[in-house]
Amino acid sequence: MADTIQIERWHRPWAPASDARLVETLNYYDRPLIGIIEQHGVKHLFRCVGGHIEPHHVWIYTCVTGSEADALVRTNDPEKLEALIGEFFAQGPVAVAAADDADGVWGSTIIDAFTVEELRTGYDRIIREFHQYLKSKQKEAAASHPLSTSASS
Amino acid sequence: MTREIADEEVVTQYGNSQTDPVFRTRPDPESPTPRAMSATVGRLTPAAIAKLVRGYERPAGDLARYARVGDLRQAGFEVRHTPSNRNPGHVSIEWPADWDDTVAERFDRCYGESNG
Repeated sequence: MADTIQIERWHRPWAPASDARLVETLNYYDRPLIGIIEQHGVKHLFRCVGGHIEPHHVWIYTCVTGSEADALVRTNDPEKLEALIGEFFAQGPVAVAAADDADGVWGSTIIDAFTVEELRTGYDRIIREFHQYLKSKQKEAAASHPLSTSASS
Repeated sequence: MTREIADEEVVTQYGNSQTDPVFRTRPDPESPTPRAMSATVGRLTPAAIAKLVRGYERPAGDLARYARVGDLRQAGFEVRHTPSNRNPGHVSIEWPADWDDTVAERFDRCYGESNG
């Protein structure tokens, strides 16, 4: 089985653990959106799949070989790069992480999917849990605000 | 391959009406570029800039706004071509120190009305 990335809470999605580092950036817009991370000598391809310019975002990760990573770095044609990225993610397993600007990665799960349905189920689960977390965070923030009682009643 | 970006050129910033803020005006301090904001060289439609950033068009809310590179430089920002494999026209708009509210306002004023 391929190595899966070990993700720790509260780290940035492009370096999602204390021992993970960003080694290549393939797309950037105010933050790395597609790139390659190295952890324990193993390379992992990552990409943002939702919330690219928003405060809450979703990321996916999959292990790639050294030669696959080299192929990604050498590919400058955006369409060919998309095709290659899609091919590598289709090999699975895929880690999915949910994050926000303030706290970094909140949670993650590994989806060792063989069907689109399995992938969708795993993805939906982490998104649902992430929404619950964001709601509870908003409630906490409102409760600590002096005007919250009158505003929410 | 990087190139010089001329004062006469225009850059596009990507935003979305369903996000807060609609257009970012300060960098993420935890990002690898805590003193730089992203844009893409050229006057791109919201759909075109969405495709470069996200890889797909978002059905609702996508916006673009534009700034002249000379105006950004006159305001004190450095504008450099910093292409990536996925976005060959990416530029970095850098401020030489930490971004505070004054810098954010200065950055915001360089851009015109948004196009959605």
